Amino acid sequence: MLRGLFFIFFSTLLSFGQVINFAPLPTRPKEELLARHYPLLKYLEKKTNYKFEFVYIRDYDELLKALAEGKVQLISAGGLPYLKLKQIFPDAELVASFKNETGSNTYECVCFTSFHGPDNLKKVKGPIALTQRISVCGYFSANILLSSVKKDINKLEYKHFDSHKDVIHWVLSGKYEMGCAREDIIKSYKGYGLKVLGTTGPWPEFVIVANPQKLQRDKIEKIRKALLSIDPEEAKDLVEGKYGFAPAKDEDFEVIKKYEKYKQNF
Amino acid sequence: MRNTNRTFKETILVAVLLFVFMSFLTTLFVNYFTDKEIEIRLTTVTKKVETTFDTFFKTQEEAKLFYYLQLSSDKELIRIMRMAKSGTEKDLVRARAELFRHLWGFYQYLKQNKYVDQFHFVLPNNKSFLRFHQPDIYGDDLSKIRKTFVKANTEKKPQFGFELGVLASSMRFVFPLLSPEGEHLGAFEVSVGTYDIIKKIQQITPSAKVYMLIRDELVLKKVYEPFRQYFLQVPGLNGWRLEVPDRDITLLKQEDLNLLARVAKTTKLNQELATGKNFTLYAKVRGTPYEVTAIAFKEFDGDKVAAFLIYINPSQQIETIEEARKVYLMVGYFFNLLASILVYLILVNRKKLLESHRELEAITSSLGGAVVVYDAYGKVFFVNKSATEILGYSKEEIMGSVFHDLVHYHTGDVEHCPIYRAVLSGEKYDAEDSFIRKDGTLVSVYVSLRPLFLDNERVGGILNFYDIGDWKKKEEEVFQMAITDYLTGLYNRRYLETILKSAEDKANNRDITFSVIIIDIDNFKKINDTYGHNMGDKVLVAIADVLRNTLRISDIPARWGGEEFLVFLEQTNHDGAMALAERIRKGVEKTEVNGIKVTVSLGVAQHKKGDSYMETIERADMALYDAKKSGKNRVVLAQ
Repeated sequence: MLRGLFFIFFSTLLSFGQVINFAPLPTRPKEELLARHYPLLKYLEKKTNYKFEFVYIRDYDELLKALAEGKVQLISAGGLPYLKLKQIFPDAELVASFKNETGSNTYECVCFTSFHGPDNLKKVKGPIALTQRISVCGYFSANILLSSVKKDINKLEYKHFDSHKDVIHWVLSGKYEMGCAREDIIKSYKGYGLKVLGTTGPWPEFVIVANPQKLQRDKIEKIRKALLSIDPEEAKDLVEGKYGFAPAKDEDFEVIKKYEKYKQNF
Repeated sequence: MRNTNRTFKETILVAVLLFVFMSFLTTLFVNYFTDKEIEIRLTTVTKKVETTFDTFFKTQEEAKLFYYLQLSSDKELIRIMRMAKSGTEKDLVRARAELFRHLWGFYQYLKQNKYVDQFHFVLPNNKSFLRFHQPDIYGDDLSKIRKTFVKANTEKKPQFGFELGVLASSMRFVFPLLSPEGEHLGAFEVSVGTYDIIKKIQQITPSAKVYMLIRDELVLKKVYEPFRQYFLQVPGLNGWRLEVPDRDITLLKQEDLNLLARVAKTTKLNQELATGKNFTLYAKVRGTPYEVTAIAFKEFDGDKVAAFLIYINPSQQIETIEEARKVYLMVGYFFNLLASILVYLILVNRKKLLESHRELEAITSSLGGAVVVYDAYGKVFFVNKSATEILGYSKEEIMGSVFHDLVHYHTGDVEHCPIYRAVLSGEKYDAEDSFIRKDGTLVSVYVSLRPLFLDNERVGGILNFYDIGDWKKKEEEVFQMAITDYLTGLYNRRYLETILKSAEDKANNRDITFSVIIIDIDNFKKINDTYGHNMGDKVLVAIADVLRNTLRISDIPARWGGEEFLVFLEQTNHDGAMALAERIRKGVEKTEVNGIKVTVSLGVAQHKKGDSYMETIERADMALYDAKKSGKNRVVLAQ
C-alpha cells in the first residue's frame, strides 16, 4: 500500500517536470507553423496541465527519426510519413486525426501551374517544384497525376522544397512550371490566378502521433481525450485543429498503401 | 560611581551620535558624487546607442532611396501596376501574378543581403496588393492601420518612420510609385523589420541582449489576432509587450526573457518607459551588472511613443563605480569611526580633566590660598576661587591672560621684576609682594612660585599666593605692641635702643650727630605713695602727652623705665637739644594732673664721635643726676 503511494507520488512528480515536445510536419515556413500550432499547444497545456514545447524540424525524415528516438514525444504527420514511421518505429501510436473545414478527416493534393503556365498536365515539361520526398502532396501525387497522362515524372526535371508554400512561391516566380501542394494551402493563393492541373485524394488527414515509450499511456490518453473532446467555442480560437479532431486508426491509411507504387524510392 | 557611569554613557552617546551624523553626511556626499558619475556614464551610454541607431537608420534610408530610384524607373513594374490600378478583377489577379514573377528574385536578394524584411506593394486605394514577405495575405484595407502608405499615396512623397503593421513592427521606408508621366500607381515599402535591427545591433555588440517592446494598446489595435501571440506579455512589464524576433519563439531564449522580466521587476524600467524618452539605467541581475538602454520610437505621424528598443548590455563600468562607492563609504565610515573614537577619548579626558579641575579647584579653594597655573608663555589655564576672590577678577577674565601683566604691581622695567623673571626662567620664587586688584587697589600677598614639569619638560608654573593684608596689619599691631609702652603709648626702651644703635652707627661712620634727653619725674615716689599708683600712672601719661605735643616730628620719645623718659633727637646738637629740653620742662611744669603739679628734671647729651649710644645716655644720665642734685625741675647739659 505504502509502496503504491510512493510510486504514485514520484510518478506525479516526474510527470509534472516533463516537457512534451511537439514537432509538426513542416508543410509551411517555420514561423507560420509555429503561429498555427501555438494556440493548439496552449489549449493542450490548459486541458492537460502538461507543458508543451514547439520544436521545428525542417526535414520530414528527421522528424520521424526524432519521434522514434524520443527526442520529441509528439508529431503531426501526413499519410506517407506515418506509414514510413510505422516501418522504422512500429510502436508509434496514433493519437487523433485533424478534421477539415467540412468536418471530415481527409484532404486533397493539387498539382497546379501559374497564371502563365500550361493548361493541362500533358503540356507540362518541367521543371516541377515538389514538397518533401515523403510528402503525400509531393512526388507521390505528382507521379499519380502525371502517370495518369502517361508522363514519367522521372524524365522531367524536379526539385524538392521544404514547404508547400515554398513550392507555390517558386511556381509563381516562374522558375518552375508546375508544383503540387495541399489544396487548402493553394486556396489562399487564389488571388494569383493559379491553374489547377489535377487533384489527388482524398487522403487521410494529418494525424498526431505519439511515442508511447517516452510518453506514458495515461498522458497520451489525456491528450487524446483533450483533442477529441474539443469544444467548438474553444476550437474557434485555434488555427490548426480549429475544425476539431477525429479518432485515428491505422486502417485509415490503407488508401495510401494502394498507391504505394507511386511513392518515390529512396 | 553613578556619576562616572552616567558620564561614560553620555560620552558614548555623543560619540555614537557623532558617528551616525558624520556617516550620514559621508553617505550623502559619496552618494551624490557617485550618482552623478553614474548619471554621466548612463547619459554617455544613451548617446552612444542613439548614435549607433542614427547611423544605422541613416544608412538604411540612403540604401532604400537607391531602391526607390531603381524601381521607379522599372518600366515593367510601371506597366504591371498600371494594369493593377485600372484593370478588372481578372487584370488584378494577372497583375499580382506578373508582379510576383517580376520581382521575386529581387526580393530574395533584398531579403538575404540588404536588411529588408517587408517588400510590399499597395494600390492607390490603400489596399494591399502584394506582400512578398507574406504573399497569401493580400487585398486587405490598410487605410486605418498603415499611415505611411496613406500618406505616401496622398502626398506622393516618401514616408519614413516606425510603424506597427498587422504582423510585426518595422522601420518603414514607404515610397509613392509614379510613372515617368507622373501617374500615381500606388506605393511600395522596403522596410526593415525589428528583428533585422536587433540582429544588426547584436552584430555590433554580441554581448548585448536586444528587445523590442511595443505599446500594449497598439498591439491590440493593429496586429491581426493570430499574430498577437508574437507579442508576449512579460512579467513585471506594464503596458508593453515584447515582440518575438522574426515571429520565431525559438529565437527567444527563456534566459533572455527572464533577464528582461528581472530588469522590469528590479529597476525603474516601467517608470522610465512611461516618460517616453531615451534613457539608460543600471540593473544588477543575479550578480551581473547591466546597462539597460531604451531607445524610443514614435509612432509614425503621431506624438506617442509606440515602441522602445531595449538594449541590455553587461557592463563593468557601473559596477566599478559602485565598487568605488562602497570603498569610499567604507573608508569614510572607518575615518568617521576613528574620529568618533578620538572625540570620545578627548571628551572622556576632558571630562576627567574637568573633574580633576573641579577637584583641584575644590581642594585649592579649601586651602584658602590662591592658586594660578600658567603655561610656558605665562598664560593662565587654571585659577581657583580664592584667586578670583582676592583679586576681584572673574575666572573668565583671568583664564587665558598673562597673569603677571594682569596683576603684578611693580616699579621699573618689567625685566627686573622678580616674578616676571621667575615665570620666564622657571626658577622658584617666594616673597611678599603686592598685586593690583581689578578695582585698582593693592593687595599684599605672599607669593610662592614653582615651575610645573611634565615628563621632565617645563610646561609652565604654579603661582600660589595668600592675601596677607590682615596678617600684615596684625603683625604691625604686634610690632607696635612690642615697641610701645602700653601705658603711655610712647616707644619702649627696646625699640628706642634699636634706633639709638642705628643712630650710633650713622654718627660714628657718617658724622650724623644726635642728642638724647633723659627725663625723670621729680618726686614720683612721693606721688605714688601719696596718691597711689593710679595717680602715678596718670602722671606718666600726662608727661607722655606733653612730650608728644612738644617734640618735633623727627624726635622719638620713649619710656625708658619707671618714671624715666628718653628722647632721641636725630641730627640735633646739644643746643637744639637743650632748647627742646627746656620746652619740655616748661610744658610739664604747666601741667597739672588731678590738681597735682608735677615737674621733671632733664639731662641732655650730644653724641660724641666714637661713643656708643649708651655712653651718650650715661652722660645724659649724669647730667640728670646733676639736675636732680641741684634742685630738680631743671635741665642740665652733660659735659
